[in-house]
Amino acid sequence: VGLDDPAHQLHDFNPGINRFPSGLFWIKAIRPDQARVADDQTASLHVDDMDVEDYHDLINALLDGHEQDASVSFDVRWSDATSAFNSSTSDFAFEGVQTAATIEWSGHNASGFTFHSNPASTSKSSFAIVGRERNGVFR
Amino acid sequence: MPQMAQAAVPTAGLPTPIPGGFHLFGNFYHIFTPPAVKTASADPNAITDFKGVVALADMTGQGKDGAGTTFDFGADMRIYKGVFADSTGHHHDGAFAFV
Repeated sequence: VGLDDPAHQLHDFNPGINRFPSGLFWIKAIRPDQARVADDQTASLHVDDMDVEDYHDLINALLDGHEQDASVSFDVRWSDATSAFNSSTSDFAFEGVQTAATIEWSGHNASGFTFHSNPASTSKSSFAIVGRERNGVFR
Repeated sequence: MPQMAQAAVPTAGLPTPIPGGFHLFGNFYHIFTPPAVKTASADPNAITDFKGVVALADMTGQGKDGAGTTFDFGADMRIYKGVFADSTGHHHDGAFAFV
């Protein structure tokens, strides 16, 4: 999550790349109950106080530059499936649906900057999908 | 961003990054952006050797800082929940958030 637009970005909250630069990109293990997917068409992701870093902008994040300790909490919801969305190559196969999605989140960094988004209903999604995937050895 | 493939760093007990991704600033990043995923030819996952449920959402909105100043934000948020094989071939149940 980050504060747009990229040309004037002030904050970029993410977990960093585990083993920069070729490792796991911006993911963090969570408890199974924090991510719920129902009937392969709706989903939710709710995490409180996830430790992340504030890289301040995307380019600095991609270069693993200076960061500050930070924390974010977020609630993301996927719903209102509109159409099938399937994609595949020799490496992966995804079968699911395109949906709408909303987010409400808050964050703060070690410098005392705090942010709280407006209610989830005011957020907008430009692209959202939910589905099942197999890749790599499971492809 | 160009789609390429490059060997990822293997780690026992942990998921392995997808082989695909993009090259930028002299580095190779094992992830595809939402616009690339939308083409239906790029993996929405960050983890390879995975089977399970995946959700991705590319979102925008507004909010306020502690002083009451309004900012725009963008968020690419994803769920990966299922079974993955680590670099030794062992299978693990796991749930991950892409933030």
